[in-house]
Amino acid sequence: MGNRSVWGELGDEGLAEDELLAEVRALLGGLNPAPELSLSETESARADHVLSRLLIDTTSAPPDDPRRREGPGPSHRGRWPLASSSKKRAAIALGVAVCAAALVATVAVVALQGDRNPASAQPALPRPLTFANGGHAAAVSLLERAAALQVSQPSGPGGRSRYAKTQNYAVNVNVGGTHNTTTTFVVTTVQQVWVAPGCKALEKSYSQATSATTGADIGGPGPESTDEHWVDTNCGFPTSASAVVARLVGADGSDMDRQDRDYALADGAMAQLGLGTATPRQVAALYRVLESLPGVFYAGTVTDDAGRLGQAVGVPSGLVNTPPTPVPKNLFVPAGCAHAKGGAGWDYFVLSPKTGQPLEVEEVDSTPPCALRLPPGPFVGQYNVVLASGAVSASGVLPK
Amino acid sequence: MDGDGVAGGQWDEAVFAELFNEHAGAILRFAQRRLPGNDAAWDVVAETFRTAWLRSATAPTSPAPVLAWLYAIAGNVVRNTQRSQRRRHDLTNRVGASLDGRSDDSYEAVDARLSAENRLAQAFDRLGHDDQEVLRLVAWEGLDLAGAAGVLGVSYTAAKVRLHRARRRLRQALLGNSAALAEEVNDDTGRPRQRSSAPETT
Repeated sequence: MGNRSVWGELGDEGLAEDELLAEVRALLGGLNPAPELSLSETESARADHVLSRLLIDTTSAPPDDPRRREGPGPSHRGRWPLASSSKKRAAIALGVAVCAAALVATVAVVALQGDRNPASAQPALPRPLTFANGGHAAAVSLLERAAALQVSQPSGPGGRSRYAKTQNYAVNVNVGGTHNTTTTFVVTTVQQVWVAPGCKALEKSYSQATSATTGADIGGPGPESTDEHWVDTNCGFPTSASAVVARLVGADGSDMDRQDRDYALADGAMAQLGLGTATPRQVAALYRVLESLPGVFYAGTVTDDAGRLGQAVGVPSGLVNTPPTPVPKNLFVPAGCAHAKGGAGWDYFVLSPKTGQPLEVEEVDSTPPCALRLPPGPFVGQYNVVLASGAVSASGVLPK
Repeated sequence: MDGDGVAGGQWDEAVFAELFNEHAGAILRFAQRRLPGNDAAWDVVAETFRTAWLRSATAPTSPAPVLAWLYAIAGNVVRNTQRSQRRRHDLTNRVGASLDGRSDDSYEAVDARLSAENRLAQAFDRLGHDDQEVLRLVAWEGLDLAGAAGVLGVSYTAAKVRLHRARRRLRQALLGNSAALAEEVNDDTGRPRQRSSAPETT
């Protein structure tokens, strides 16, 4: 290498296209980090899964039909990338509906609160839980106590599966079409997850999506889906605070801006708590990480979206609903929203004062996404309620 | 897929599935070559085909351009993902295989630095993004100039000029790399520097 003969005898511009392409391919072929053309068995299985998830909704209505539901996909919400932010708020504006499904009647009664505006046919949007700001010291005290409660839980017989039933609500703003028009979907889901020893997971879920453009349900819950391959669980997550930090911010942690690091830790810890399958020791480690964040504050006693009394902790989560500056070309920004002023965001979680168990994680923004054309004010972007969690004898078995 | 390829307009489930089965692997490799992390690459696959669905009315009607069209969509998704990833080492760092301990003059370290592949990777690393991308499309995605032009959103002529320029800059970077390393390792005799514990040959 370095021998000029590799560049051929002709001058640069004199190479015919075929010769030019052949030379470049011969030169750089060895550097290809992914040279395999065919998919492995594992990759094929994952591709099948991705296709099945895409097909659930993408083919139920034509692309421009406002009734079209967004298929489940990566766990992003419909938020725009931010100048400095956690991974969660780095989701692009295309957004994604989240997994799981629910029994519609239960979800409608339990999850959806708030007024329905018949004039604009907006769907019922939940109001944020009533959070207070009780200061940092009280949060640390609560988290310490809750962590101690968790580690004092009896471990129970080995060989059992972890079970969690969660209910998720999320608003997704999908941008498409030639004029970057937006369609907003409110998706509610319930999922049941079992994690057996060895991290073999089983998920069963139902989903219901409501379009804000029509204000009407679009036909009830979708069919139950079952997934055994790509299920989000806490399996294998660390049980010490230092290992959790390393896991959440990785090798980049020491190079990160302190505020970005804290946002990433808060975001990651909240996401783990919301899954519902964390063991008591994992929950305790997550609490200890959260109590180390200077921005964490006690948010008071609240009634969660499942009607349970709990104690809340909040942490700032960065800027939200702010388009990047400048707006990158080809980034789907809702029409009329390129210069929207975003706001602040907070992540809250509610825990049981008796057991320290996480009950709910809620993401609240100071202002709604521009595309929704709602008046300014606190807005719930997403919440995840842990309806049940614990150990069961085997996957597929419900707790008694 | 038949000879007429995918019809423009709305796709039914069978057409979409066929398109996916035929091209998902290529899009996955495209993403893996540009993003760290397998999950990120699969996210790109899902987002690319979801976007393709949204824009099916503008899809090409022949098979070959369909893949280039998907690559163009995937390229946008990758760029958006790269913007949103914080402080991640991008693909060029993996390709560049940065060597630690440049001050390490051990025989093995010098030998490693001199290895052809690492010199080439470092030279590639030094190129600008546009140069790297046109070289990737030709060398790794196997596109011709027309295909690369489509993905990059430029004319055929512009793609040809870009490829010539990238090739020239890569050569300059590579030769410059070799010269710098040769200057570093050679002692007065012109022989590579050896470890102090190794007897000098005469």
